[in-house]
Amino acid sequence: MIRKRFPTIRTTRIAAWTTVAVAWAVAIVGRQMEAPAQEDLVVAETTRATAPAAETTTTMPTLPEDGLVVIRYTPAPPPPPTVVRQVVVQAGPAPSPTVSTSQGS
Amino acid sequence: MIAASFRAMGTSVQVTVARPEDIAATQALFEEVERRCSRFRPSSELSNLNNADAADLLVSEPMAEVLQIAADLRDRTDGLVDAGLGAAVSAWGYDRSFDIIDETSTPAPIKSQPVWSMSGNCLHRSPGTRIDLGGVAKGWACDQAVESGLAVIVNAGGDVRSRSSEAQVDIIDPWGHRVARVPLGVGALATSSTTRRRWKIPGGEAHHLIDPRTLAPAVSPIVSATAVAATTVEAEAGAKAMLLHGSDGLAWAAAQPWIKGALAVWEEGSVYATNGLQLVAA
Repeated sequence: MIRKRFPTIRTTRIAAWTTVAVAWAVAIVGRQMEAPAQEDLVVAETTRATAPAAETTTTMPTLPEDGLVVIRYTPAPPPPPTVVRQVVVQAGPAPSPTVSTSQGS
Repeated sequence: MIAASFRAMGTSVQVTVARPEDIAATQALFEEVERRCSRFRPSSELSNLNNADAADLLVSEPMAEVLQIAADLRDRTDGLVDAGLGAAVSAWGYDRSFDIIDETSTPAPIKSQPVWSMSGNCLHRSPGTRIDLGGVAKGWACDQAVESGLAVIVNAGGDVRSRSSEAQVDIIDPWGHRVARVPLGVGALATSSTTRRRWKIPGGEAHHLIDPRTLAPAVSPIVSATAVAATTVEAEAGAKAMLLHGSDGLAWAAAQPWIKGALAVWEEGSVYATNGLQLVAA
């Protein structure tokens, strides 16, 4: 009885694994066949996404006739200001009465 | 020299004086200018002018002087710096002192261009035109304080006027970093920025610098502009005009004989200056 059932189970397992393997192989082959189409799609999307950026000119200052001084060039936005905690143990010197600051209003 | 500070015209004012009694006198001068030229004080001369129905109005001598300066600066800046934009800036929500702006109100932008002119002591304006002397009045107060001999150096919210050859000014960018030190000496320097005096509106933000071409807050790649000139009113107008000119701002400033030097901070953080701007190592 056991001898008779064992080959059946074994045969079933072999058949099942064979089916899984074939399906997996078919899927791999199918994916490889579709791959060129997907690459085309990626290229198309990339082209569409970068087109406006290519059309948008980077805003740079118009050059004055006598030239321009570049004090700082920062192509990317600067990071937000960091908060620095500082323990002051002694009062510093008084600010100079002849040095002002200007940040706009 | 003695350094002191007080608050006036909605900003902090730092003064350097030679005599202690000049501190109070300088403060009184600023108070007098604010009492006359504030559009937020109901009893000011400017509020009375703005609320009057007549098209032609006689104004006081000091008011005529300030308005004449404003008219001159409007001409020099090709109409970009226009004191007649009071109705536009109010329509965008800046209709009261900045500290108490109502950020829940919806802007109701106006569409009519301001028209106004001065003839002697007479102000002529079209219906609906309201005068805003915020920038020019503050600069004029700085100029008056120094030219009258009260102050050696005055700094009103970044608008600096000096009669000291030793005066230097650190230019601070909107992120709080010092980008340059200018050996100002005798003269004036002002910075205008769209990152200051901003307020929330439904769906976004607005700021105080109105573009007369659109009657809306200016859109510019420049977030902060600094100009050096002989007087504060000129420097203040020059800085605003640069910002309103956008990417042409520095080229425009370099072509103006009354602007001695200019510096602009771009929106991505770059900093450019005209060749005429003197800089010193900090």
